[in-house]
Amino acid sequence: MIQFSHVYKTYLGPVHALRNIEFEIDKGEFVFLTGPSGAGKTTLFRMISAYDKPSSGVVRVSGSSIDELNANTVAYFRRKIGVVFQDFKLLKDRTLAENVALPLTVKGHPQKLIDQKVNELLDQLGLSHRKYQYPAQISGGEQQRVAIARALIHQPGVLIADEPTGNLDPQLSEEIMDLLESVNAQGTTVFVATHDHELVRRRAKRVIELAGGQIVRDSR
Amino acid sequence: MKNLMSSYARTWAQHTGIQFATLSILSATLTVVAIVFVTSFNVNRIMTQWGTDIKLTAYLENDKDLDFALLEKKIQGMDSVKAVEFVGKERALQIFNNQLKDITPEFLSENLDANPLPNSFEITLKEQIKNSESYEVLTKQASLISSFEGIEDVSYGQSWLKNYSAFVSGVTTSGIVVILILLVGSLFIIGNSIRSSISSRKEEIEILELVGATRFSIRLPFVFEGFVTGALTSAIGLFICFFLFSWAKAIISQSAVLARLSETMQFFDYSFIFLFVLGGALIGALGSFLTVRGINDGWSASQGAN
Ligand SMILES: Nc1ncnc2c1ncn2[C@@H]1O[C@H](COP(=O)(O)OP(=O)(O)O)[C@@H](O)[C@H]1O
Ligand SMILES: [Mg+2]
Repeated sequence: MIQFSHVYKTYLGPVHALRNIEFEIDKGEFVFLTGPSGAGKTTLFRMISAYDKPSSGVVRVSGSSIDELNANTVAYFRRKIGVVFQDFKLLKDRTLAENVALPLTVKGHPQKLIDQKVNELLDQLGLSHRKYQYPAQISGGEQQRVAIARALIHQPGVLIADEPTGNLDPQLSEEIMDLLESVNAQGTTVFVATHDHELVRRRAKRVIELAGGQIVRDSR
Repeated sequence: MKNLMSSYARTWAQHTGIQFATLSILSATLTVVAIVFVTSFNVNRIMTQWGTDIKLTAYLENDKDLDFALLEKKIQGMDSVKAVEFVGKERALQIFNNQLKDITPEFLSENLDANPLPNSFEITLKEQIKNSESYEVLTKQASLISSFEGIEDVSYGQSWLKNYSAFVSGVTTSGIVVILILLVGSLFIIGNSIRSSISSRKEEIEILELVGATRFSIRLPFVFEGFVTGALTSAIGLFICFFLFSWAKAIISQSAVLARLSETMQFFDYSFIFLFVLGGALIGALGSFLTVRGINDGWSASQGAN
């Protein structure tokens, strides 16, 4: 599902953000990516979501080589993945339902089908009563749940989440992790980056640990 | 379409000031473009109406036993000639006297012993003088005719015709130059307004890219915005131009000297109005396309981050 081989990423400076990264995540796995701030977690995730290309090496996600995507094909690649960020990235001037619907809207699905799917998903997440509200009207934990709903509505094979609990208190963080685990239980490959060791320790999952741009541990 | 309209509405909500400024400047610009068009169109119209029937006078050699009929046939046979009329020297004198009678009756030449005027042909050309090119055609025809056996000289009011045709071409040329300059300016104005729309929607573009919106669908609302702005402002420009035109026409029709001119004056017809608005819309779309092409290439999120 996700495959890194001999991946290096060097920013101008030069900053060696990633060095010789090599790992593989199979379909249906739940994996944590840990490491201190500046270890290279976001850099690695940006490559999985095709926001960046490796300086050298190969990144393969859902059958696509990131290096071979261009400005036209990248859109179709992103429809195969779901991405969640620390800062939610919701559209402030759209209702929650409209936000969740976005991946289907850009694909041009009929509105009726979209409404039906959005209602189903918001129901599952216990957010149906808020669907006509705007992001500013709900709490951070709820916003993150909406963002996760948006990342799942088009049923991607893989969901990646970069510090999804970074802005949330421990209680809400646990709830978000529970949600991600249930998403995984339904078959979606889930890859979560976090620097919160406590959170990781409580769940018996595979952990890949980064430090200084290198993998220092893979619990596989 | 609904999405495009709501996107345009959001631009208005976010940038009411810039939108108003853009709309007024562009409307003013396109008003000027329309005025230049309508002016040069009418100058051409009036000039061609007045300039119809260019007449040459070919004076015949005296003292010679010329076969007038043969020469007339020869001139009539030329492609560019519409009509030829023989004016005998007696008639020429008569005409001359008639004209002179009005001006200086004392100098009537009836008492002249010999008629000093030559026989001549009044030649009307098919070609009308519209620009300097047709002026060249005229001079060519004149020199051709003057080379015929028995023709002494050809006159065609050389200098005023030259000025006249140069004036008509000048109006057309400077009109085109002014219009081109203003249209290039319009591209920049629209581009700038689109740039501000884009910058305030940077986050939205990022998110749309994140969920897999194609480059085309991300750019389309901005190109649409330029299209609507272009169509709207060229329509407003035409509207203002129409009022100014009607006003000018009313003033001219009141003047005793120029009243006849106002009858010839005409505003654009419907097909030109349609083309003008369409042209404005296309320029708007082009201006914004050039801008979105520079700013958004499908990876803006990757470029904007950090
Ligand atoms: N666009 C960039 N240009 C230069 N250096 C960068 C850029 N992005 C990240 N870095 C550097 O790369 C390293 C890894 O950063 P990042 O992947 O954000 O780490 P993490 O997400 O684990 O905190 C850091 O040293 C950071 O300063
Ligand atoms: Mg990070």
